[in-house]
Amino acid sequence: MSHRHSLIALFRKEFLELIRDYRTLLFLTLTPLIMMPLMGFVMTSLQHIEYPKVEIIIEDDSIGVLDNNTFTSSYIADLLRNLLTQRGVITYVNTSVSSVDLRIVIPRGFTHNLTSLDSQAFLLAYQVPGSSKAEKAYSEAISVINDLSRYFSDLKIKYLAEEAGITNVSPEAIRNPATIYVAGFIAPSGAGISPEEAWKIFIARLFAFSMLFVSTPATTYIIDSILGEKERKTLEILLSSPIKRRDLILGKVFASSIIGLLAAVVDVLSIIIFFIILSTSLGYGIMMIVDKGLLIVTGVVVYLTTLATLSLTLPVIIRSSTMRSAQVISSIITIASSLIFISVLFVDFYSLPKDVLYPLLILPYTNSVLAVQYYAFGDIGMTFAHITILLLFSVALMIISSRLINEEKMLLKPV
Amino acid sequence: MIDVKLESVYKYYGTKKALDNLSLEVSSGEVFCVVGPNGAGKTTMLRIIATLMRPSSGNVYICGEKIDYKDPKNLEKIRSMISYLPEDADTYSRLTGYEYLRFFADLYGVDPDNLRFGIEITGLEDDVLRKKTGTYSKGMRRRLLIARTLMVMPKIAILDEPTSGLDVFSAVSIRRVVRDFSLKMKKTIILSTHNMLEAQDLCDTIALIYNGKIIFRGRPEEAMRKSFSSNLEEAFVKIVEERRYVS
Repeated sequence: MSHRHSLIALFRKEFLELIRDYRTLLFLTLTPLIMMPLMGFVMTSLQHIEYPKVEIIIEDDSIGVLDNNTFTSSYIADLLRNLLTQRGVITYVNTSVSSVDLRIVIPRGFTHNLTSLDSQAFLLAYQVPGSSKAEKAYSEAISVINDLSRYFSDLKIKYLAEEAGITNVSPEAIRNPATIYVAGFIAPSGAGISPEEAWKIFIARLFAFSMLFVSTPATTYIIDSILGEKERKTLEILLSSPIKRRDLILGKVFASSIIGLLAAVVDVLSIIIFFIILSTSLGYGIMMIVDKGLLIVTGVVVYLTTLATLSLTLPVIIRSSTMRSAQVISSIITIASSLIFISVLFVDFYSLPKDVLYPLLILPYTNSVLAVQYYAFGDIGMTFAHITILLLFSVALMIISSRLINEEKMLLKPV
Repeated sequence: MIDVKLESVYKYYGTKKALDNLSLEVSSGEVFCVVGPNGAGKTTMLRIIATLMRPSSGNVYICGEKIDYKDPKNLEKIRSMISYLPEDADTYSRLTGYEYLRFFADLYGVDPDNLRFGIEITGLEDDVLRKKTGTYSKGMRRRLLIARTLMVMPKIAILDEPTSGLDVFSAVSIRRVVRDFSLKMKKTIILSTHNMLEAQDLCDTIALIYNGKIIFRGRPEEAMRKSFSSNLEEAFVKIVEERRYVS
């Protein structure tokens, strides 16, 4: 029997068993298809239906005069309420309410200080701790107070300019003589990039994060595929057949990697749904932010990441005494992958110092992240290099695994 | 010609001795029956012959070739000559009967005629073979497993308690298949059983294993004659009790 035929026979058998395992397939496809759009929904829609509540308490009874204009604390409170309401914050003035996220107190002397030329006026804020609504209310309050502050700053500068007989005055130029703004985007190499490419880099980060959902189904399947043979009492016949141990490993891994391929397709699909939700919410067209090349590279990397996870799990499975211990140990591998894929949201792996990055490259998942991110930066060479590392990693571990097979231990150990 | 030869084989599980200086020879075309109480070492011996276990010491020869448990190529060669049916084996429940047989036919490089032979000896109708084996009864699955074992036309078929747990009809039907195969194909069959009727019905030679040692080896009639027994069951009880008394 040729090597090719027995490998094909095993692959075909595994494939038939896989496509008839409806429960696994359902779990595999539904997880990312539900989770990613749900994340998009949570990140966008849920935030919009959160209406923080602010109450404004007036303790001030002073009057402020600036350039023949008279201001009262009631006027200031109304101004704040209008500005906050425009920003989606439910605002009450001097009204007692049962539930509130932020209380703003206008203290005594505030209006006087606001209009004076020698004092700064302070508002007092009291915030509900650990509440995202309170955080949002506080953030909106800061924006509104900045607007209010800018308004009175303009009045003061114009008044002083008039007093000084200066006609050509820009309050902004006096208030902020120097400032900075984003004029464009650059890659870590220093080369300029377009706003579309900048989007691509942002999306690459999210694509890398989305690989979080790929490892678990494939790992679960390979454990079942190998240790399940014993549980289902089919292992002994298979091991006594003349199939090469290398073919046995390859057949199992490649069949399980179909799970990875499927996961990759579903993953990319779910990300597209995620971006449809996100881009619709932000008012962009989907095609503006999804790059076909990035999709393909992500698909390839997701497949290879699955292959690497399977290869990494294989020696553990083969030497595990029970199915439970294999699951426990492989969950450590899954956690390691999760750490990398979650930290990609906060860490720029490509700019890590070498003494930190090089040890991390031992993990295939770091290479997965870097392959996607380097592609987004247009560095095809580094993308190819990290994809190659992923592939070599998988092949090496598969060879090691095929040599670790010990029929006697596999048959005698309890499942 | 000797197809299977075990030479001073010992097997330990930790400190427990499973096979104790066991030696035996099985001739080509012979139906060789291994009987003995539970835990006597029957399955261990069959697994060693099937290359699934390594003896702690001693040598095993298959068709004149010494098994080198460290040489993968040698093991592949030996495995291509053997077809093993474990006692509690089962089929792949998500495959149909046809797919199950085809998988092993491909794995062993079985030609279409032998695959048809396998299908024939299952005794299962076409519509049954098109169904997933998970829907089969225990007897039907056992017939499929027997067909799988024999259709690859091994030089040596190893059947570990092939009728264990089956009803009388299924057991008789499987015995008939094994006997016909033996008569037509002249292949070596090593079979373990607790059923003395089965041993008497099928086997040319019987070996009784007790505490990892062969305490009797010969024709069934010889066992009865030596122990002054009217049937094989009685003969083996006497032989084992005599050994217990001696030890």
